[in-house]
Amino acid sequence: MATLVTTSISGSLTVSGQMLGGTNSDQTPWYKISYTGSTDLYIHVRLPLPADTTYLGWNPSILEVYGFNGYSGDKVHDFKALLNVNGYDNGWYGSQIPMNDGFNSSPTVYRSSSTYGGQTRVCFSVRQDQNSEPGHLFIRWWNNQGAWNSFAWAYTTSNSATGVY
Amino acid sequence: MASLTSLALGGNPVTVSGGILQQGGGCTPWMRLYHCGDCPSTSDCNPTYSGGYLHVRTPIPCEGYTSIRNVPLMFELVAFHTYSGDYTSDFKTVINIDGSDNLEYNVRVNAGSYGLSYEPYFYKSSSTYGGYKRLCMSIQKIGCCCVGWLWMRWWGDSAATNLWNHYAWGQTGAGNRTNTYPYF
Repeated sequence: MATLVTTSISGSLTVSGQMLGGTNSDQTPWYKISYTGSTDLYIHVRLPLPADTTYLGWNPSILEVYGFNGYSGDKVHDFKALLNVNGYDNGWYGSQIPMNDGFNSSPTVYRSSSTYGGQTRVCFSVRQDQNSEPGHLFIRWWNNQGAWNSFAWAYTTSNSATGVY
Repeated sequence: MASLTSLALGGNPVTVSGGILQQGGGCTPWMRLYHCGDCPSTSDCNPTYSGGYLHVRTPIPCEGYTSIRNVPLMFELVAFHTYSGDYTSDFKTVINIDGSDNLEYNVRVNAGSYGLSYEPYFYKSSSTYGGYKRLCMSIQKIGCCCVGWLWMRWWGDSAATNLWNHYAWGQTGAGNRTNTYPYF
């Protein structure tokens, strides 16, 4: 692995993978999910981020989600949620969504009921277009970027807004 | 310093421990500050933790620095305070230092703040830092030393974005929203 201390690039910088911003801002890269709407009401995403004290215990993150579904943007997503876990008893306090500028989005953030890789994971759902039209979700979180590759991402659909994972 | 004409990087992830600054303008990297400024004096906040504002000093010079005059920039702020995000901020503000070094600002985008009674307040520092008064800002905080973070960056011409490392950032807790104490 090459380590550059101070690097000046006069042309363009191309990163074929993803870029972690490091300790400076502690934001993850964007993760993109591309999908086609189905008949179910919601698309659910499971993040690698553990929903326990491993990272989030008294150490909140912001979950940020952009996205859309449908040729005319039938559903558009733009929200930030505050994720937190009680450091004493592992209680989940991560369902607050103080910033939501979406259109027909209806986001819900929850902790998975099951464990994946031995840990519960942060999950969310948003409304999806039900006409088999293309959609994309762009997801990242602020703080705790060390959990970026903690586990595999997953997504599925459901008629329920919560409790899928 | 390595100087490359172009660079292609593979791998996942590529890790940048510093920041990436586009010299041609655009936007600066994010600056992240821990959101736990206690009041420095009980004469301002009694008890010490009770201050309801956090004041931030940015590196941006705003008096006597000719290169920034009439070079408007858009300052972006994303923040939360307390474990449950009792206060959250998501603002974009257009800032200009006019030809007479007057500070003009307008908070133009509030993308969904929560719990706040006030938008961010911008002012010029009373003291000089590195020879210049600096652009400062206050936001509301809960009157405790609870966890929280601020992310800040600005957008604009290279004359504005190249000020990214012009001087050190600073922050302090405060009892007042304005700089009447003064804090900076």
